Amino acid sequence: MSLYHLGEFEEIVLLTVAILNGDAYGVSIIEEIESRLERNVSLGAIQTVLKRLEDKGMVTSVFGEATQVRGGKRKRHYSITAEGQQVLQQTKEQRLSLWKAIPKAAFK
Amino acid sequence: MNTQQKHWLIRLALKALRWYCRPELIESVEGDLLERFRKWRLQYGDRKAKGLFLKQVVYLFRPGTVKNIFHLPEIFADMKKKQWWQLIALNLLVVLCIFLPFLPGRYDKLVMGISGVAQLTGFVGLLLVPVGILWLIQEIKKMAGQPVSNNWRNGYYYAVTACCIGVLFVLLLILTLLVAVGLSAGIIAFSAAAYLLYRLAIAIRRLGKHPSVSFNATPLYLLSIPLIAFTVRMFLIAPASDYSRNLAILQAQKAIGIIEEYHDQHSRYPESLDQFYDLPRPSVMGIDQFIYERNGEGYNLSFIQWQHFGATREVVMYNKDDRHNVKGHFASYDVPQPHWKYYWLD
Repeated sequence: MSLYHLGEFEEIVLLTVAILNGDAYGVSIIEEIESRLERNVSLGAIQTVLKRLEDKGMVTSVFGEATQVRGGKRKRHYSITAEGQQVLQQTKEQRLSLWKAIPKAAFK
Repeated sequence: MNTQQKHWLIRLALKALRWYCRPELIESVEGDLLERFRKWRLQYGDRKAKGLFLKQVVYLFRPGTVKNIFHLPEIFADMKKKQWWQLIALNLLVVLCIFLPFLPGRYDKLVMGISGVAQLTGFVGLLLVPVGILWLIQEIKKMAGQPVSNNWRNGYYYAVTACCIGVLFVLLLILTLLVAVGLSAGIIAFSAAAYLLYRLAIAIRRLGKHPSVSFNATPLYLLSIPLIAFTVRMFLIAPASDYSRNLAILQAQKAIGIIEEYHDQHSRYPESLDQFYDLPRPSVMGIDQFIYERNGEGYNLSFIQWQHFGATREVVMYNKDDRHNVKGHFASYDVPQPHWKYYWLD
C-alpha cells in the first residue's frame, strides 16, 4: 500500500524540486516546468501544491537571500525530504509496473 | 530598480496581495512575483508585464494561499478537486432524483419511489445536520492543530451516531419497500444496505484506530445533502410540478383535438379512447396517461401527477363546460389554461 497518492501536478512539482536540487523556489520551479513540459503554470498553483507537499512532509523550505531583483524579498528554497523521495520512487515503480503490464499487442 | 515605486498598479496589486495572502508566504510570493515581473518586462514590454502581474495576483487568490479565516483555507487546500466534485455530484444527484417525476421522458413508476426517497432524505436527513455541524467543528479544530486525542476529536463517535441515524432511516425504507412493493424489493434493498453498512463499519473502525491528520469531508456530506434536499423539497417542488403540469396540458391539446374531431363527425363524444391509436401520451416521467371519462353530455380528460412522498396525488382535469368533478379532494386550484383545474387528493 502506498503512503500517499500523488496527484499529477503534485508529482510534477515534486520531481522539479528534486531536479533543481536545492535551487528550487517559486520562480525557478515555474520556469523549469514551463521549459521542460511547455505548460503554463501560475504562481498560485505552485504555491498551493508546495504548501500541500510541505504539510505532508515531502518537501522542506528555508529562506534564502534577499535580492534587489526581488524588491528586497527573500526566496523560499524548497528541497525534497526522504519521505518525498520514497513517495516519488513508489509512484515511479507503480507506473513502471503498469507499463510493463501492457501487452505488446495493445500498442500495435 | 524599485518596481513598486514606479508602477502604481503594481503597488495596488501588491497591497491587495498583502491583505489576503498568508503571512508566512507573503515575503517569498511577493519576491517571486517581482522577479517574474522584471523578466516579463524585458520579454514582453511594460504593458503586457503589468497585465501578467495582475493576472498572477488574481490567480494567487486561492485556497492554500489565502489568509486563515476560521481555518477554512486549510480545509479547502486539503480537500482535493476530486473530493469537491464528488460532493457537488452527489448533491446534484439527490436534486435530480427529487425532480425526476417532473422531468420530460417516458413514464416510469420507479421515478416516484426514487424521488420519494430523495425527498425523505431532506427531512430525515435533518437529524444528521447537528451531527455534521459538531463533526465539522472538530475537523476545523483538527486543521487548526488541535491534537486528535480522543474518539470525539477524531470524529469516530460522530460517524457512529450518523451511521445509527442512517440505519434507522434505511430500516424504515426497507419496511416501506416490503409493504409497498414486495418481498423481492425488500430483500434487494436489505442486501444493498447490509453491504453498505459493512463497508461503513470498516471505514468507521479505521477512523477510530488510525485517525487521519487530513481534513475529513464526511461532515460536509452530512450537512449539505439533507439541507439541499430539504430546501429543494420545500421551495422548488411547486415550480417543478407547475412545469410538468403545463407540459402535460400542452400535450393534452392534441388529444382534445382528436376528441372534438370525433364529436364533429358523430355528433357525440366517444365512450372511450380505445379506438384512437394515435392518441398522444404525456411525455413526463411521473405522468402515466390521459384518462378519459364521459361526464353527462361532455367529457373529462385528466391525468394524475405525483407530488411528494406524503402520497399527495394531483389530478389535473379538463372539462370543456367547466363541470369538473373530482371526489375526495381537499384542495382545488385553477391553472392559466382555460377549462383546466387541478385537485389535490390524499
